[in-house]
Formats: sequence, structure tokens, C-alpha cells
Amino acid sequence: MSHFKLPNKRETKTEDRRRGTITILACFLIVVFLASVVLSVDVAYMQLSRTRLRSATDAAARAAGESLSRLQDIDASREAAKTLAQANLVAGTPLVLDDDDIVFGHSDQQEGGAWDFVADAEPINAVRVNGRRTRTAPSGSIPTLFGMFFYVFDFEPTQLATVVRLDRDICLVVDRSSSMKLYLTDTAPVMSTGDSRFCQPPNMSLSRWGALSVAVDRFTSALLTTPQTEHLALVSYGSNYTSCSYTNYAATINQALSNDYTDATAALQNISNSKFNGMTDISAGILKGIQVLTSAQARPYAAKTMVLMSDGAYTQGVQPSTVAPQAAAENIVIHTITFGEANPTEMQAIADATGGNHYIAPDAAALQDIFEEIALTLPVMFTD
Amino acid sequence: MFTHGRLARQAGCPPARRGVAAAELALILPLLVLLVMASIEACTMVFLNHSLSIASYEAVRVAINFDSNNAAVEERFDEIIQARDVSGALLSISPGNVATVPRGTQISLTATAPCDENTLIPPWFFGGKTLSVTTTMVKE
Repeated sequence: MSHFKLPNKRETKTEDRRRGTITILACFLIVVFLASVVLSVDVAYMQLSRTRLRSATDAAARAAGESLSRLQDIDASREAAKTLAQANLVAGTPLVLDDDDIVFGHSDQQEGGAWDFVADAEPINAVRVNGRRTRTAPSGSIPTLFGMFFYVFDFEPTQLATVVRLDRDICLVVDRSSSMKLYLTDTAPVMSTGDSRFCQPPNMSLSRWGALSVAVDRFTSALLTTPQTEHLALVSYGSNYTSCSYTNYAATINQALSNDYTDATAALQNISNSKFNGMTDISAGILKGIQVLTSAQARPYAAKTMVLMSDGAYTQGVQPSTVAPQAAAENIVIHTITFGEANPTEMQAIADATGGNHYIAPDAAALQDIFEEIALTLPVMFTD
Repeated sequence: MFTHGRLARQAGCPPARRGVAAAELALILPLLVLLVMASIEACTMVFLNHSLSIASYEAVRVAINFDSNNAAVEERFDEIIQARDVSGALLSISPGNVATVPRGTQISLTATAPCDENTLIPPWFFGGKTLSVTTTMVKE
């Protein structure tokens, strides 16, 4: 621009040079235009590549979580992550993952609701995939489209995806003391040996046991609606006692962990048909539950949950809350349900010692709602 | 460029030189316009590709749910496609029925859209072409 302000006397000398001014200006402008084109196209392309990388990383992490849950095997899970990462293209090439890009660990929900992942922590319930297209990554960095005009040859996006898999091994621990045969309308806390119902199986429509049976049905139905895979076991407790030509044990494994929920309901039906009797040895039930959840059938990467139900205070065995820490040591969470007369303080203490919840069911309807709620409590799978 | 012309007139340039400026401008201007148009087209295509990527990703997230069905997948896809104002987008689901796919099996969703229907200006490099994006995930 300054050329045009030159004095007129020098105009003839500069005339030839000035002829090229538009060209010079245009050359300068072309560089500016080119820079804006490069910037706009390449920035858009970078965003697109980040989105594709996020898709591929999410797909890999979810596949790893799904595989960990189904096969309970870390190596298979890692392979699934690699396969799925490669099935998705990032900037036109498959995303290749290193073994180090797939990290297993433990995720916990924090007070605010956010999840905190700790690599290599036990028990393993989460997988983190580090999707990267850096220069050192197996698939390398992503070349820019036009950036090379300005010596920007590539860019290096990275994405993290964490998946928490909350499959559960659940052990129902139910009370089969004599008082469970009392009717829901009864007010007496115990059943006397002289009661006409003492040597009979429970009345399925009127007794507490009948209400429990319906609640367990609601529980298994609710489990069928959850996306995660639960395995279910059934333990019942009473006391070592023989009466009415029927032998009761303090605690019995009525059904080991099984992916077929009808196994547990069938086992419950067997108890319903029997003339069970006894005291209330809650601690024996808890110990049996721990045995089930730490048995060979228990899945190594599933969350262990015990649902402990009682209709009375413990009348046999040690104080139940003193054995609860043994469950906590095995990472077992005990949700406790107090039905009717039971001692809520004791049940609360058991739940508190293991990080579970305590529920009070004043009637049959509440008992069913609580069982259903426990079945639906945990979220499934979570990606961040 | 116009600023330059005005300044040139103010400086009292002879008509002949004004013609030179105009001729130079005539040579350069188409180049600049082409550059701008090409950049607009490239950005539009990247945006279209981005839209298809997001739509196929969101749809496949629905498809992998254990209780999903094709109608729900297509509904989610259409939702994103409409929000991003893409014309003529199609979704192909493989395998054909997500409801019967067993757990652990890959589901691939391919979203396609014709470039001609999704440009601001008549396409130059992408005329007649179709963009396609595939996202694959595992059924849960």
C-alpha cells in the first residue's frame, strides 16, 4: 500500500515495479487463504478422527467388558478388545492396540456418583482401553491432509474408555425357622411345639414363608430383566433339630450358584414342601453363604452379593454381626432384610460391616418390593 | 483488491495502469475463489462424514443392548441424522436382525449418504460419490 503514497516525481522510476503489485499482494493473500483452508479442513479432519477414535476405543472397551463377563478370562478379554479395535477404522486405517493399552483393574463409585478406576486393583471388575494414534502407537500418528504446506505433518489424538462390568454372584440366605410358618396375621414371635401347624409344611398363601416364596419369585423375575448376568444360589438356615420325623440343619446349601434361576426357585419349593422347624441361627446362614460365594462355582470377576433375610432375632449361634467381617474380607456385600419381628439393630450392623443396605419389611408387599429392588439395584455397565 | 483499486484511482493512476491492475486481478481472483470453494466443499464433506460417524456410533450403541431390536436402532439413527440435517442417509445393519444376534457377536452398522444431496455448492471433487461409515461393536 505504501507504494501509492510515493511522491509523483519518482513515479516514472517505480512504474515498472508497480505493475507487479497486485501479483505480489495476491501471492501474499494466497498464502493467507491457503493457511485458512489448511486450518479449517485439517481442524475439521482432526475432530472427525477424534470421533472415530472414540468409537473404536469405546467398542474395544465394551467388547473387553463383555468378554470378561462371559468368559471370565483376562487374556480372552484382551483379545476381544484388540479384535474390536481393528474392526473400526480411524482415519482410514484399523486401530491396532498393544497389550499395554488394555488395563484391568477395579472401579468404585465415589460419593458424587463418579467412578474411580484403579489399575491392577483387586477384585477386577473394570477394563480401561487407551486408544492412541501417537507416533509410538502400533498404528502410528494420523497424517494431516494439507498441513504439510506448513510443516505440520501429523497429529496425535488419544482417547480413554473405561468399562465397569457388574455381574453378580448372588446368594439368597433365607430363614427357615419354625416362626416362618406363622401366618402374616399372627402376632406371637415364635411358634409353639403344640401349634397344629408345627408338624405341617408352611401354608403357602397365609404364612410368612409363603410371602417369602412370592418375594423370591419377584426377585428372579427382576433378575431376568437386567442386562448383566447373575448367578443365583440358595442357602437356608434354622438350627440342628429333628422333629416331626424331619431333620433340620443349622444351615443348608439348597442350591449352589447357577445361571438358571429356576434351580433356586425349585430348591425353595422343596423347602416349602417340607415340615421344617428350628431356631434362628443367622451366623450359620452367613457362614454358609460365604462358603457358596467363595466356592469353585463362583466367578472370579463377578461381584459377590448376599441377600440375608430373617423374621426373628438370632436365637442360636454366635452374634451374627461378629461373622460379618469375614464376608467383608472376601469382598462380599450383604444386603439384609428384616421381616416382621426381627432385630433391626443386628441386621443393620451386618449390612454396615459389609457395605450393604438394610431394609425393613413390615408386611408381605414390602418384602416383595425390597427383593425386587435389590435385584435391580446395581447399574450394569458403564463407560467413561 | 477493491480497496487497492480505489486507492489507485485516488493516486491518479493513468487509465492504462488501471487496466493492468484489473487484468492481474482477473488472473488471480478465480484462483482465490476456487480455493475458497474447494475449502467449503472439503469441510462440508468432513462434516457429513462426522455426522455419519456419530449416527452409526449412536445407533450401534442401541443395537448392542441385550433387549434391542431393529426398530429402536433405526429410530436412534434417524434422530441423529435429522438433528445433523443430513439428506438421503441410509442405514444397513449386519447381521440383519439385531434381536436374534447372540451375545459376544459383532454387529456392524454402515451409514451411507450421497454427497450430491449434502453440499452447499455444486460438488467438484465429490460429485456423484457416496460417503459411507461403518461402526462395529459386540452384542452384550
